[in-house]
Amino acid sequence: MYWLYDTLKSKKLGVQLGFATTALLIFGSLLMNFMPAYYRGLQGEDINFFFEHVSLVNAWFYLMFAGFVLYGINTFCCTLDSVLVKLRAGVKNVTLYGGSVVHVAFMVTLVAHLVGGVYYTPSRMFTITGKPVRCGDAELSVTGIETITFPNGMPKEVRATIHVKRGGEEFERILGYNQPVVFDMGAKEFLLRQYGSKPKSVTLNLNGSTQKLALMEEFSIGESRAIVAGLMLPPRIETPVVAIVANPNREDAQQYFVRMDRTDALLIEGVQVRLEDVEIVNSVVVDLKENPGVPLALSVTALFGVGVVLVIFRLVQKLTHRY
Amino acid sequence: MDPKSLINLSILCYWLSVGVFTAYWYFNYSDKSSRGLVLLIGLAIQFLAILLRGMAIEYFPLTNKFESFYGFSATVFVVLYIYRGTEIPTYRTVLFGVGYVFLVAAAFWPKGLNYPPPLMITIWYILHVPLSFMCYAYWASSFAAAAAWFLGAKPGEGASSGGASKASGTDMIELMDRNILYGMLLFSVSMLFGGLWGYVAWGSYFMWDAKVVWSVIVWLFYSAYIHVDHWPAAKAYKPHLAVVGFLIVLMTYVGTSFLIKSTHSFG
Repeated sequence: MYWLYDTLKSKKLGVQLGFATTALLIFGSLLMNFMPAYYRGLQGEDINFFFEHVSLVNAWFYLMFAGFVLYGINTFCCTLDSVLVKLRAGVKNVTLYGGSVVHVAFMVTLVAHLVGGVYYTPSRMFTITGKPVRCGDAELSVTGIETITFPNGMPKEVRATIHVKRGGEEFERILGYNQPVVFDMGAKEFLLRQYGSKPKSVTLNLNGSTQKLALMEEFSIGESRAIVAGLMLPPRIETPVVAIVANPNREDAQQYFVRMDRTDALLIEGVQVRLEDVEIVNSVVVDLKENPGVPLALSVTALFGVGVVLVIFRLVQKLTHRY
Repeated sequence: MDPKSLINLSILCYWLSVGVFTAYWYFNYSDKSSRGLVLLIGLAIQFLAILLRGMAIEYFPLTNKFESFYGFSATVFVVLYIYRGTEIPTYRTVLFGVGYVFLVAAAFWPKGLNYPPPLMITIWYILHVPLSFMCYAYWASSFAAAAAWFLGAKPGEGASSGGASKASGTDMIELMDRNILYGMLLFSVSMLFGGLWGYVAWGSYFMWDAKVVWSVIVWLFYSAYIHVDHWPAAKAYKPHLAVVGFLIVLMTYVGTSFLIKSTHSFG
């Protein structure tokens, strides 16, 4: 067994695997770019794709996968060997263990990528308004949206207040771009994709009497029927405009547009029509991402950080001794 | 001052810096202090231009091709300033050449006011991108050292051959190793920031996107390089590896925007 351990802890093998996996990843990246038809459907960090679409074209991935497995084992054996040697020699300078910490972080990174890749699920989109919407195991609703814009009107910061009901608990979270709502130590997150106002209803004045109508609701207009076919809101246009289709089920159906700022009423089927009010609700479109590899990846961040800091300290110590 | 005027001022500073760095071609062959001073003046103007753009867009100005190339050239000149005392003209010329190419290339892109999209507005972006540029600059420096090695400064040559070198080829290998290690350390940190940005912005610290994949390629390649001393037969090829490494860096930085498709392509 010692010969196997000796082989696996060979640093030369590690360097060779490093260059080999690099070359295979370069080859794979070029294939993915220049032969996209073979990789249609490959998303996010998914690695199941390569096992579900077994093909010679993916040979680079299978080789690279095996290479990374061996690389991980090699790193483990090298690190173990190095730490044992230092411990036996009674090394107490913590900075000398920095490299080992970085190597452990590298191994955990490989495992995190494996977990994230194997358990990858495509994200799901939900439109959330003031009414609670079930998104996975949580119920979300929007209670308010604040935006800060650049002088040209582009959004700079969006802060949507989200009311969350989950596991018998109710609480509020702020959702924004680069500010997801996160659960389960990061394994589940809701990302903001779009925000804005969603029209709910319009109030029309029909010959002096008001009527509140939902979108796509049919109503009587004179002797005919009509439908609230659509509503356009700023900033796409200056003022709200409602689209009304008279006689929607007939061949001679006709579409009318009623602007909110019109002083004179629009005559539709002999009826004076005015748009008096528009009821809108805040809404956000969120992406639900689930990746059980995230907690591991986050722990890698801390581990890598500690390792790199120790290595930097070691470098500083070396330089101080040199000069 | 309104954003438009700040941008116009920054463009003026850009052309000024182009002028100063064009003059540096002459000062590159002069003594340490005068070439250092010219570099410092050029850098001060560059950073002023970057500051003015930042004030105009109310954010870190790395939002388009012009700002990206301009920012990268600044990091190369910073590294050149750090190594201004290296008395190998070939090394300094090649490193300066890399920065100058990007400085001039920036001129070909629109320089107007460009507000950042919301997904760019995060501390992780501000930490990730400039740090990556600094790593690329260190690796450009290792490439320059490799070029100097190929063009004359070979191991054991010593400090003789005319004005070409006062340091030996061994010094160039050392410079290569040091720059690759510094770049690697910073890039590891930069990758962490990039991963965190990817996580908060797209929900993934990794994805099969060309830019992300090539960033991993860069990291894997240089992490293998820093261990290459453990493979005695490969040690002799360090300068070759430094050149290959820099080609990979160029592919990661510009190739993924111009040669292959990536969602990270700068706008």
